[in-house]
Amino acid sequence: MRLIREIIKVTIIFVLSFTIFTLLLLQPTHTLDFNASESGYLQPQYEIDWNDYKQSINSFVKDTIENRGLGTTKHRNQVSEEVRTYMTRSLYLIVITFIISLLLGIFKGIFDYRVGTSYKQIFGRWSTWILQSIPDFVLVISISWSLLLLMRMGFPRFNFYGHDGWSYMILPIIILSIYPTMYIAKIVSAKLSEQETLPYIQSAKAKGLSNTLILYKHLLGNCWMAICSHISSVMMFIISNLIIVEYLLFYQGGAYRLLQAIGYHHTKAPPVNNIEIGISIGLGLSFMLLLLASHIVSITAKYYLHKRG
Amino acid sequence: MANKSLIFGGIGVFLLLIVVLFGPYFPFVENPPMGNTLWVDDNGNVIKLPYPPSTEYPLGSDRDGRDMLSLLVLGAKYTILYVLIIAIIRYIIAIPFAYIASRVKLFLNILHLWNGFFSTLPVVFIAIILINNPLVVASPYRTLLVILIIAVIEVGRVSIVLYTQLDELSKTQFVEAGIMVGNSHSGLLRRYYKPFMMPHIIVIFLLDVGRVMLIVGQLAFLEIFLSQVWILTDAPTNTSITWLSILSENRHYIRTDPLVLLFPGAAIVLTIISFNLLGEGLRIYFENKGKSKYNAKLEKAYCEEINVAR
Repeated sequence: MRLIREIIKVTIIFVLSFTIFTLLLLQPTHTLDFNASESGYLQPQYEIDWNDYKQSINSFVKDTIENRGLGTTKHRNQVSEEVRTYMTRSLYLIVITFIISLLLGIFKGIFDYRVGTSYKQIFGRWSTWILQSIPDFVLVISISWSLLLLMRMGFPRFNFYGHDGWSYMILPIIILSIYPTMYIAKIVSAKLSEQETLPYIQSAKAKGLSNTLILYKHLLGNCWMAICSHISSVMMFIISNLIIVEYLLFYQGGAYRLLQAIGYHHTKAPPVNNIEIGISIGLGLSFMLLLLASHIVSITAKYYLHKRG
Repeated sequence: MANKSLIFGGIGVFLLLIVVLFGPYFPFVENPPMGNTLWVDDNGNVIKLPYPPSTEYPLGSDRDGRDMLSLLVLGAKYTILYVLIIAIIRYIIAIPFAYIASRVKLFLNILHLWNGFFSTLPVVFIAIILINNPLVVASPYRTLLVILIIAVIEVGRVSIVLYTQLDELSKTQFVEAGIMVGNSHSGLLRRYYKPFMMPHIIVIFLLDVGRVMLIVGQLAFLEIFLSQVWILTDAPTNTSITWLSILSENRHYIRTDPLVLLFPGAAIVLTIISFNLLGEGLRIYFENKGKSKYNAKLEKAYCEEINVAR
C-alpha cells in the first residue's frame, strides 16, 4: 500500500540521519590543538586520525551492545535515566504547547476569517503575520524585559528562570506557543476562505442555515485534516524554538542538556571538546523519534486527504 | 487599491539601504564607537553600566559603554551582507538543482532524500554539529565553510519548492501550447518558464532572507559566529561588529537589563518584517500583473498555433 511505502521511506531517512550524526559525534577530537602564533591569536590545528576514528566507532558499538545501553554520564547516572529526567521536562512543554496552539490557533483562524477585510483586520491577519515574523530569541528578550519592568512597578514577583515547579513552565509555554498558534491560524483561515466558494457550502447557505452552523458542521471538519497534515511542521517549529527558549530561560530540559552535551556551553579557550557521547545520542534519538512520529501522522493525514479528493 | 505591503516593505528596505550606505557618516554616529567604562554625572554619582537611554546615549550603551545607536548603525552593513550572501549562495545552488530535478528523475529522488535528511533535526542543531566539527574549526577557510554550511542545509527545501512550481507550470495549457508551437528547449525556458518563475523566485528569496536572519541570530546567541578568533584568556570572540555580535556579547544582561538586547533585537525584527513585506507586496504585484500577462501570452500562443496549423 502506498501509505506504508511512504512511512517506510521516512523511517529509513531518519535511520540514515541518525547514523550519520552519530558518526559525526564519534569523530576523535583530541588532536585539535591550539597553538600560539605571531598574530597573538591562537591558531587551531587538526589532523584527522582514521585509525583512531575506526577504533572509537568500534569501541562505542561494542560498549553499547555489552552494556545494553549507552553507559553512564558525567553525573554518574545511567544515560537512560538522565534522558528520561530531562526529556520529561521538555515533553511537558512540548505537549502543553501543542494543545494550546491547536486550540488557540483554530480560534484565531476562525476570527481572522470572520474579520476578513474589515478595519478590524489589524487584530486579524496582520497581527498573525507580524507575530510570525518575530524570532524566538527576540520574544524571550521582549517578554523578559516586560516582566522585569512590570515587577519593578509593583507586579507580584515570581521566579521564572529555572525548571523545578509549575511556575517555571508558564513563560516557556507562552513563548513557545506564539509561532505555532499563528501558523495554525493561517492554515485555518486560508482553508476556510478556500471552502467558501464550494457549491455545497453555497447551497447550505441558500437553504438558510446559519453561518455558525455551517462553520462548525462542514468547514471545520475539512480544516482538521489540513491541520493534521501540517503537524510535522508544527512539531519542528516547537522543537527548534525549544532550544533557544530552554537555553535563555535556564529551563533544564532535553534541549538544554543536549546543548551542554555537545560540548557547547561556556566554551573556554583553548576549548576542550568534551562531547558527552552517550547522552548526546540518547537525547538526539529522543528528539528524532518525536519528529519521526509527527512526520508519520502528517503523511497519514495527507494520504487520507488526497484520497477524499 | 494600493498595495500596502509593497509600499511599506519598499520603504523599510530603502531605509535599511540608506543606513547601510550612509550610516557611518551620520553626525550622531560615533565611528569607531569608543567604550566608556566610567561615567560620573553632575552630582558626582557614578552611573552603572550598561548606561540607560539618555541624551548622550540615545539608545543606551552595551556592556563596554559603547553607544548602542552607533553600534546598530555601524553593524547594519555586515549583518545584512552576511545574511544576503548566505541567501544568494543558497539560491545559486537551489535554482539549477530544481531545473535538473525537472529533467532527471533520479536527481529529483536525490533531492527528496537531501531535503528529508536535513528535516530530521532542527536546523540549529544540525548547524551546531557541523560547524563545531574539528575539521571546520581548524580550517583556514572557516568563515567560508560556515557560510556554506548554513546556506546548504536548507538548499533541499528551497529546491523542492522551486521544483514544485516548475512542475506545476509545465503542466499548464500555456506551456503545452508553447511546446506545440515548436519551441526549442532553450526557447521554452526563455519565453515561457523564465517570465513566470522569476517573480516566484524573487518573492521566495525575500521571504528566505528572514529565515536566514533567524538562524544566524540563534547561532549568535549560542556563541557561534561567522568569523571568530581564539584569545588565550577569553571565550571565542568575533571580529566584526554586527547586530548578532551585540546580542551575544551582552547575553548575560537578559536577566538584569534586557533593554540592551531589545534594541539589536528590534533592529533584526524590523529588517525581517521589511523583507517579508516586500516579498508579500511583490507577490501581490506579480499576481495582478501576471493575470493579464498570462492571458496575453496564452492568446499569442494560440494565435501562433492557429497560424502554423494553417
